[in-house]
Amino acid sequence: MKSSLPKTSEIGQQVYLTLGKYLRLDPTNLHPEDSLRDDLGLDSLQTIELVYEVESAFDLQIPDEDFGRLTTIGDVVLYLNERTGPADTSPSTPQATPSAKQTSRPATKTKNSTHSKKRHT
Amino acid sequence: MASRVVITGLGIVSPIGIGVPSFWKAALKGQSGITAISSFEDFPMDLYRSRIAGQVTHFQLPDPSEDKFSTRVDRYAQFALAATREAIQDSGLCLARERAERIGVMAGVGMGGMMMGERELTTLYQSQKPHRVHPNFIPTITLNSASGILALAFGAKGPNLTISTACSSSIHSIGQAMQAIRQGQADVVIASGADASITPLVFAGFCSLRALSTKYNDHPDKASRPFDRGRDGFVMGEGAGTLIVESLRHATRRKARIYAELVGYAATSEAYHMVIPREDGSDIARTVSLALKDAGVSPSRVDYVNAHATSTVVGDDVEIKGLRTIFGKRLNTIAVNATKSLIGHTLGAAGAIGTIVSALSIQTGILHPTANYDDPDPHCALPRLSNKVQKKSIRVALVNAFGFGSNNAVLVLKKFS
Repeated sequence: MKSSLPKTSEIGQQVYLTLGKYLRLDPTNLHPEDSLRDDLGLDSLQTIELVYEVESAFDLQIPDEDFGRLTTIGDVVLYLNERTGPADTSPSTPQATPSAKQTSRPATKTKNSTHSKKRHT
Repeated sequence: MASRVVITGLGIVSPIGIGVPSFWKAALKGQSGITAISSFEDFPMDLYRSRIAGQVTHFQLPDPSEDKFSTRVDRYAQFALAATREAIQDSGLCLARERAERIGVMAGVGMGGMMMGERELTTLYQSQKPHRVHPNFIPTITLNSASGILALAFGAKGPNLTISTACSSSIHSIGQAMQAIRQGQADVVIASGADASITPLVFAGFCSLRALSTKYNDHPDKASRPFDRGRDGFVMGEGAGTLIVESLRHATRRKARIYAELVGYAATSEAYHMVIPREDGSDIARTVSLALKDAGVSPSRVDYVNAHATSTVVGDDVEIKGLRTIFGKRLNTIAVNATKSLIGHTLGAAGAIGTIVSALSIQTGILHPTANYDDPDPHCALPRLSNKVQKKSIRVALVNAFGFGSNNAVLVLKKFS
């Protein structure tokens, strides 16, 4: 699986694997410019779940204030690069084929924003 | 013709006071009951994103000669027992003279007996000895342990239900109490709401859901700030509220003091999302409209709204959108306040406490401040929403509650005449 991932940093690769596992998608079909809300169809709770998976994979906590930065997959990679080490700060552009990207979209899209505080309890 | 239904007794256990007089005195001062959680016994707090809550302090179990039930139930049901004991006393009901079959219990509970639940789970996993699980574990954690123990303690043999719709639970328990009396199933219903689940696991769960305020850990009294621009999530609370709900005929016959009349109730589902409200507030508006229709009251007669207002960014905004849909520009003349600004979100108790506040405001013409409403969010700003105490004669009040699971509930109260 790892060999088929786009060329990116080790952190980036781990992010793609984590996201692919959560989304049940082939990670090679994910792209840095993919919006968590508009392209992947995640609502706010699903975004929180996804960040939870990333926190578990990287053994760190992401504070609420940083949520607003995480709107695309590239944002998540950049953020983790900043949090977990020096070096690679590029958004880890993957080399997936255009055809892969065209077929990678989940069926559903929602109009929900990805703001972190949406619950009405 | 359906019976008219009135509120004749109130009881409360809250982070700002145990008993209605001390609660109301603190509420009118705008006093905050939000404090730092010192620890979960030996469990460190520093890894929690949020470290504050509306905690009930100084709660003491009654003397066993007075109450042999409290030691047999979890903290939330102990609160329900205490609030109900006060409400019955306040109502002047002499239970020995009542027909037990005509007294019901409706309890709203969000989380239930999680304290014992977590403790016994930990014991089991650490000891790996199934026989060390406490014999009273199951009767304690079942969600109807409060409604069950209330019936036992006060000899109520009428309809007995537990309603669990998360944060809207006790608006439903009061609404269902009203329905039971309207339908002639009972003369008196003990309508209660209770929760006490500030526990390591439940608190961690709300933290993981990113529903809680995290910006004000060093200033707990500032954290619950409904409708304020600086709000960043709700603050968990604990407590209980009980109302004695009674048919007007029964109350009149025994010359009971009447706080307010219960005239309308609506329950709906948004069928939208487990934790996100529909963004345009249309289902909230629909629920308010149905409750007013049930009450036979025009929107133009509403004077006051006890808002659900948990202090989440989107929840408060959506509630105002829903109210604007119903009241339009007239919302600017309606008094609104948020009880959770004082005590945090008491989950299953929230609707009952909001209804108690509304009954007291109808009776006294005084509205408690909305604490920390210092920098109004332009989306939520209303002329009659204030961080100061307000005076206003109230004829018709709404109480809102919305819960996880897409639940909405609204009650309508009216000044009794």
